Amino acid sequence: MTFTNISNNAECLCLRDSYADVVNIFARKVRKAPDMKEGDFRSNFEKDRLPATDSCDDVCGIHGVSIEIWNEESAVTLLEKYQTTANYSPKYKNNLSIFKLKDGAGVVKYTPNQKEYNKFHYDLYKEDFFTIDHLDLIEMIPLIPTKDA
Amino acid sequence: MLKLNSTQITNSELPIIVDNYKVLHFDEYPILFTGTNKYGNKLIGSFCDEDDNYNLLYFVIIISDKDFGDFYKKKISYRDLLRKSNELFVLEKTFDDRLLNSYSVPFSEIPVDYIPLEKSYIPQKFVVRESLNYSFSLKGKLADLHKGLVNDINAINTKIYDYLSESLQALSVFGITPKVFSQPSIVGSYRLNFDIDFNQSSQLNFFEIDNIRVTEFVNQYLEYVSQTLPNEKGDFLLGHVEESTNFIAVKEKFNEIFYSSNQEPPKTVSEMLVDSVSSVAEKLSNVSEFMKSNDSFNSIEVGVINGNGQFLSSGIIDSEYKSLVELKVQFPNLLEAVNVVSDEIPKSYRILVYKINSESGKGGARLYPDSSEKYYKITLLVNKNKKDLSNSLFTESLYEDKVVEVSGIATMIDGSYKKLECYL
Repeated sequence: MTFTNISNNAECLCLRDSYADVVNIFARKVRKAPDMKEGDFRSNFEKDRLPATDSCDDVCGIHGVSIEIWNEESAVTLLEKYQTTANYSPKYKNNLSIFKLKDGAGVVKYTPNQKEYNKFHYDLYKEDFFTIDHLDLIEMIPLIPTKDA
Repeated sequence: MLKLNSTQITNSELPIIVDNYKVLHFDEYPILFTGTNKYGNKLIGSFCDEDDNYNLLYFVIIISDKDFGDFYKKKISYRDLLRKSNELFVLEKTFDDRLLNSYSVPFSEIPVDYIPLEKSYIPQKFVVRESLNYSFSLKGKLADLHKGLVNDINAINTKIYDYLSESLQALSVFGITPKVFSQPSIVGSYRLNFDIDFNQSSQLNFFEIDNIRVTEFVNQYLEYVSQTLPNEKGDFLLGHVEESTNFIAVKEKFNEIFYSSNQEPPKTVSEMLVDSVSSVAEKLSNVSEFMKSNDSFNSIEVGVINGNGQFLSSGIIDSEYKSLVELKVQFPNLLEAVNVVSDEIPKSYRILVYKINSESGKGGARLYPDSSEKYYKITLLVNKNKKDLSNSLFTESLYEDKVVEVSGIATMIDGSYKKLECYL
């Protein structure tokens, strides 16, 4: 896998401690259902956003796509958090995609130190030629009950 | 997509949080937050959406101290706060929190799918737990300079104490003996702080009382008397209480104390509360009247102190209180009575007691003049002769919701029984 989109635009070793993971299940909120769209997996860098500081945590953070591990320990907590969010911001990303990475999707890095500590948080560094087909959708959960998934 | 246009752009600094910023819910972005602007107004806001340029849109509104307190007490949702706000701002910010534009948008123009859901209450971990820690913040005159004349402060302390003590008389039916404590003031404000603690009397401990239900009732009851009663319909306490949804809500809270202990509420609950509301409103009227005649303050903001020492307002009491409530409650007015007749010797009467103070012997009861269901509401006065009221016919009637026969001197005013004086 190649990551020149990241390495050419960051003077930090962002991929250090990252690894391919096609076993674990992850979650990320998305706008549209029932299928996932590439637009929902854009990094902040791809949205022309700048890091808050020059620290490598912030610099690498804008190149990663935030995802959270979805397992027995995390599922209830995360779902509760997302549903609480939907109470206040019902329009924004009101579906939750549950998926696995396929071979060649990219690598993940455990990054719990966010603005608010999040022990389930990972960054996904997408491979240069990542497409949405590199993700294997397991389930799409609507976060607003009356809304069709 | 939320449509914003340049005519809605405002330069107002009202929606800009400059202090006390607190994130109540975070999920990728600060989703729900509070703070204060440069003028000291309380603000609440939420993340709304990303726009086409990936900038972040936030709703922000100014809320009153009362609404702020109610939100923290989970009495009002964020959705309802937005709905009732006079002015809703939409802030457009960059990812690194730089303000690009501020828009003033009427709530009616917000598309329905952007409006927070009905269950958009404060996250549970921030809810202020019901407590009996009350704070009375003196406002105006010297109090604004954090000063007060000693005599004024002593007098208002006593009047507030009387008001709180009177409000707790409603709990006597549960055998609860509350105590009101004065608490140290907080530096930098003129607040009089009180804490209420209560124990069930071991002599009257017929059933276990749920303290949380009692706390919830006392809070709702005090808020009713101080904030809602002035807005009730005229003379509503004189026979129209069941028409008031607010009064019914207080009554249901009172009944919940019985239900939580597997007890059926007595049939006299409404009378107990009407009587009690009148007495408490009278004490609060004394507080309000004092505001006209002292040199230290002219209004009082009532609130509770949460676990972090934060003052959460329930509303203001000012010198108008008495004039607003005096037509609605039953302040005694014997001066207008034409024909007052009392028994010359004690006679036998059938009564149902719904309130009695075991210390003073004062209370309230229904007096049944004959064998029918017809009754008069009377003031009961039991002269204890240093005896204990605990195991008397009067407490038996109160706790067992039972009509008893007692001997006493009744007073009739204009043909209606009004008072019964008994001896223990």
